[in-house]
Amino acid sequence: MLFSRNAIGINARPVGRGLCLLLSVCLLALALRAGAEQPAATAKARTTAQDLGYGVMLYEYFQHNYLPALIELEVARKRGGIQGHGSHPDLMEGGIKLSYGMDRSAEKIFNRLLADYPDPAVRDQAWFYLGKIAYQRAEFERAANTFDKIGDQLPANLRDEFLFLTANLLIKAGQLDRARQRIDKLDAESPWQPYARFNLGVAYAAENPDQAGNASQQAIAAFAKLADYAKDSDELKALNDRASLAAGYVLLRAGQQPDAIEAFKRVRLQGPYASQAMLGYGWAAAELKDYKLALTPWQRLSEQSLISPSVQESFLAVPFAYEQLGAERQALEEFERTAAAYEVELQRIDQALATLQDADIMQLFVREMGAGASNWIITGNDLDVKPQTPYLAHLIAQHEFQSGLMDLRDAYALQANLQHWEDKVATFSYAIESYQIARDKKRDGADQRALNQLPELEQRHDQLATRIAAIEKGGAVLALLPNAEQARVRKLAAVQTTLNAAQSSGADAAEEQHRLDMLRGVLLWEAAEQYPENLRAAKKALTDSALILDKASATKTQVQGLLATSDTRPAQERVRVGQQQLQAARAQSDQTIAAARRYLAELASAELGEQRRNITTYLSQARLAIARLYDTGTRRALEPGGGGEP
Amino acid sequence: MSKFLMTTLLLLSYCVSAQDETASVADQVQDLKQTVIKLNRDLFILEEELLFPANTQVAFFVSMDVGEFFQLDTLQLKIDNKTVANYLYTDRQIDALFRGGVQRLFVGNVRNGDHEISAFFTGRGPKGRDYKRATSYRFTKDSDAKYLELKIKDSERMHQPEFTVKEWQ
Repeated sequence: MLFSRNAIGINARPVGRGLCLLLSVCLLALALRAGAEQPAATAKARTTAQDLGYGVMLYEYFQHNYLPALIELEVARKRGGIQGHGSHPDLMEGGIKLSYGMDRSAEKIFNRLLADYPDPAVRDQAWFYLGKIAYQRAEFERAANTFDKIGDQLPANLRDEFLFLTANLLIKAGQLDRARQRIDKLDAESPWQPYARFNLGVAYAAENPDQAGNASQQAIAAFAKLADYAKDSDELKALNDRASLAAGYVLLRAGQQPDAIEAFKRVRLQGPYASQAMLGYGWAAAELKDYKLALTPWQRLSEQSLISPSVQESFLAVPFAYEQLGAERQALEEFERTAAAYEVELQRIDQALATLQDADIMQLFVREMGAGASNWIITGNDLDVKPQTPYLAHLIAQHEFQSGLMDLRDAYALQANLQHWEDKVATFSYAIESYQIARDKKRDGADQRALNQLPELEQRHDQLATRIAAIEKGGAVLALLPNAEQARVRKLAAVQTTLNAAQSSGADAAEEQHRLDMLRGVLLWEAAEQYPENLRAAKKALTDSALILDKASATKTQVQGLLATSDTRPAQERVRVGQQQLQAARAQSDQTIAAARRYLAELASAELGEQRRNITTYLSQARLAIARLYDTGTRRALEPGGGGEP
Repeated sequence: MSKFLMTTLLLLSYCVSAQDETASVADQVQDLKQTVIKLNRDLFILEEELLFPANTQVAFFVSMDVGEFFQLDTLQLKIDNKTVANYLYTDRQIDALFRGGVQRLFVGNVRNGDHEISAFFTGRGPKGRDYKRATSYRFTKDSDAKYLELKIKDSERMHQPEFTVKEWQ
């Protein structure tokens, strides 16, 4: 620990601890960038969808809606596959699954692509993603071997991430100059640049931790580059703060205290690294024996909450500075105040530990549930909302914990998805019942009556057709006369019968017969005149009859179809199976959430335990200092001429 | 065994068990994701077959094929003079359309036969110029599902965005 050399270890430098912290921070930055960014998503090139399903998938993917994108892809495949995009759907699926934390499934897809596609461009992408998967799993040797297989066909949008990841592998292998050469190849505007420079700086700083020299200067140079990017975003400003802080500790270790002070002063006071910088500033001044200068940042720190490790340390540093300035009484008072504050803080941590088991981890750390949201984890100054969370800021910065939180967030989102479907599927049964009722009504209604009338309609139509054909064939012009004229024909026939009877009995009916023939002739002439029109009318009636018959036949087909498809049992069975699968998935999600919460609670509990141990150690050191100062004071009081003041 | 060695061993064993736990939870979440994706696929298809059978289904999609960035604000769709969709776009959605994504705007049911759609969009072009465009289109619904894509394209003649409609088989 920091205070270890004499009674309170005052002369020990804080450099080693500070750098260790920064190194761990560096690895976090690496892991986060590698896991969160999906290069294909950052590429702004337009894609023209040749297949609607593929286009809909892209629409979701470009919004970082990974779950809906994967579902759309599955739906498109189930409906006959995606046409016209070659290997892209598979590559996209693998990339999306990697972004969505499904590396096992992604790995299978990329291995399958390697087996199925000889195209070097496809193979290079597959090797890249497989290397990235190995990297994310911290299988660095395998990652390096996989990246070595990439040829010269890697798409431009993956090139910078490839350079970034392989530079990190070289850093891990201790080949820092080769790593620097690789980083120099990154595009000047690449988002990977600042992170690569920072990682390189930390690696150079760690190379020779016990002596100042070239390595430190290379580290300072790498850290200084970060200032070029600090204008772009809060994240990069914070990274620049981190770099200035690291540079300060490197310079402090090299014995360049004034330069270290300048580096610490570059850290923004409103940023997340202000307290660490103030602590380092104080140590640099203390090493210059300028304890008054050291007191300025330390006193300011000691006014803050004891939650931050830097503040905890400053509580001991302030009385140390008083003691060095010869103000032993003030030092003693400060040590006593410090011991009391540590005791209170221990009680608070115990309270936080006691309530942690009942706490909802998601409520503690997560701001929102939107998938793909970039700032969903509560960090930094927002952490004072619950009794536990302020102590866990360090934990939140760790990759392991963040991965666990992301898994838990995803599991909650999946549970919500299942709930949504449970509500929806419940309505499917109603839909099927309504469908059945509507079908039954239709079947039993007017259309069914039309169905029953169909034989009669067919008979009438056939009779009409036969009659018209006979009339047309025989030229029976009278047969097509309208009803009134038909009555006249029948009347003339009746008169003829009467006349025939009269003539048979010897009566002279020649005049009447002549008049009757005249009337028949007029009627025949009129009938002949009207015949074409009457024939057309008769044929139109036949056509209308045919139309009615066709319609009735169509209705018959439809009703027969309805009768054939009105069995809703298969659909109901599918709904039942769906509900069963939903229940099983719901149980699976409940178990997964419980496991993830348990795991995160254990990590949080371990972190609180670590905080407790740190403060306990500080408390012991404060008590020892108090005892030592009392002892010194007592001895002085007992000495001849002593002032009697402890 | 020294106290230091014992502590180191304890620490190592803690690390291993923590890593195992991480892998276990991560694996469980991956399995759950796979289950939910497959289930969503099946339920999505079931829902469409039940609520939007092919003989009545009509689906509308929106895409954008413009050279310069076009800020799509709203889109309204009417079928046979009845409004079926009113959509207000977010920046992320516009970006997704601009990059080649296709939005499924509306899925519904219509009777077999002839229908007319009207679509209206509003937005702003590269120089902040406001645009409001409309199009109408007639289509015939038969027993197959009908897919219509509303494409917002650059008009070479007028140098501004316009609507076209594409029927998918």
